Amino acid sequence: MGAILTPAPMAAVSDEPIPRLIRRFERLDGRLVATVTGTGVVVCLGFIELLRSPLQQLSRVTVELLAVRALLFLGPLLVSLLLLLRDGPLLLGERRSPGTWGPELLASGLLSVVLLLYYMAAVLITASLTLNQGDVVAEVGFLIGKLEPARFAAALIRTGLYGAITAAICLQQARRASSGPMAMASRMSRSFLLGLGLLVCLDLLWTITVDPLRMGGG
Amino acid sequence: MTPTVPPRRPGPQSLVFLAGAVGLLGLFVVGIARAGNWLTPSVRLQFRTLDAAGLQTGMAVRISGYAVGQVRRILLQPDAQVLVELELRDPYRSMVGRRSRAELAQVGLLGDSYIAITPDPAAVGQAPIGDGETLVFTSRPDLDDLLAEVASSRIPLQRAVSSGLSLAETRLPRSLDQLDQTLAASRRLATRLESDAQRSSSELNRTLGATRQLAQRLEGRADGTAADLSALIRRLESTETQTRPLLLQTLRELTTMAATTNRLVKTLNESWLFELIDRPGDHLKDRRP
Repeated sequence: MGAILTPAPMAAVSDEPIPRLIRRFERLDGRLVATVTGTGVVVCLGFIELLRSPLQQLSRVTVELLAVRALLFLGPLLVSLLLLLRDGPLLLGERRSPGTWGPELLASGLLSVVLLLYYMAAVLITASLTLNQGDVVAEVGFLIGKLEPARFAAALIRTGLYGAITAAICLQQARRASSGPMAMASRMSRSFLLGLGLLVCLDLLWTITVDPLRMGGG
Repeated sequence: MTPTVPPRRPGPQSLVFLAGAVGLLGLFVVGIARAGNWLTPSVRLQFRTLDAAGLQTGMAVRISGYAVGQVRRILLQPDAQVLVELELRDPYRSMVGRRSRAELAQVGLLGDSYIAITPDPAAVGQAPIGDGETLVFTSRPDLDDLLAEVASSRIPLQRAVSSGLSLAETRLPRSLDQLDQTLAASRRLATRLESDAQRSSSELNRTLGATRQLAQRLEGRADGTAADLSALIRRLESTETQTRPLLLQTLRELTTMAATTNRLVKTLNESWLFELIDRPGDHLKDRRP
C-alpha cells in the first residue's frame, strides 16, 4: 500500500485543464493497475470459495455467473476507493476553488472507468481459470456474453460517478485551512471515511431504488 | 503565481494502459454484442400471455431445442395481459409460420427455462413471417390443476390397486402351483424326448450307414452294368453291321421267290387241271348226248 499512498508531487501545477488531465493520467502506471487487478483476483477467489464451500453452490456456471455479477456490482466501490487511496494525497495537496474542479473530477471519473475495466478483466479471467474444465477462451467469451448490457453500462457510469465523487471529497477537504503533516494525514483519513460512507450509501440507494426498477425485473 | 508547465503527453506506460483499457472495453462490447446477436440480422416476434411467471428477459428462444433467439422485452399491457417480444435470428425465420406456437419449456427437471417455438412445416417455401407478427402462446398446465387431477384420480387408482391385490392374493398361489406342475411335466417330457431322440438318432445313424453301404454297392453294380451294356451295344452294332447285307440279300431272294410263287400260282390257277378238279361233272356232261 506504500505505492498507493505515494505523497503528492508538490511541483508547480498548471491551471489549464488539459495539462491537469494529462498529469492525472500519468499516474496510471503498472503499480496502480496491478493493485486493481490483484484486488479483482483476490476478491473473485474469495467469493468463489464462499459460494462453493459454505453456500454449497455446486454448479460451475452458477458459481461463475454469481461471482461475475456480484463483483460487477462491487467493482465501482472498490475501484473508486483504490483510486482515492492512490490520488487522494495529490488532490489534498492542492487548494482550488470549486469552479476549477472540473478537470480533476473528469480525470478521476475516467481513471475509475479505466481501472474498472482492468478489474473486470481480472475477475472474468480468474473465474474462468478457477472453475474451467476446458477451453479458457470460450469460457471467458461465455462470461462476457452473460454481462447484461444495461448492468455493464450502469457499472461504468457508477464507476465514473463514484470516482468523481471521491475526487470532489478530496478537493473539498483540501480547502480546509489547517496545514502540516498531521493535518494532511487527518484530511486523508477523513476523505477516505467520507468517501467510503458516501459510496456505500449510494450503493445502497442504487440497490434499493434504481436496480430493481431498471434492471431487476424480468 | 504558479509557473506554467508546457503541455506534454502522458508517459508511454500510461498510454499503454489506456490503450489496454480501450481494448478491454472493445472486447467487452463485442462479446456482449455477439451474445446478444446485435451483429446478426433478426426479426422481432411477439406473443401475449396471461401469466408472466417463469418468463425472463434474455431467456433463450429455441426451435427443436436449438437456440435461435432470445426474449427481448416483457411488458404488462393495460388489459393486464403480458406482451412478450422475441428476437429471432434471420436464418431461422423461414421455419416459423402462422401456425407456429410458442410455449414455455424447461431443460430437464431443474434446467433453464426457455421459449420453445414449434416449427411450421407449411411455412417452408412460402413468404417468411413478417416483423412484429404475433404468435399463439400455449401455456403449460398449471401445477394446481395437475395436483387436482392427481387427487381426483387417486380413489379409482386405489380401488384398482386393491382389486388387483386381492386378485393376486387369490389367484396367484393357484396359478403358481399350476405353473409348477406344468414345469415339472414339461421337465419330464423333455427328459423323455431327450432319451427318445438319442435312441432315434442312433437308429437313424445305423440306417444311414446301411443306406450309404447300399448306395455304394448299387453304385458299383451300376458301374459294371453300364460297362456291360456298353459292350453289348457295341457288339450289337457290329453284329448289325455284319448281318445287314445278308439280311438284305435274303429279303431280295424272298421277294424274288414270292414273285415266282405268285406267277406259278397264277399259272396253275388258270390251267384246266384245276377246273377239272373244281367241276368234275362238267366234263362228263359234255360227253352225253
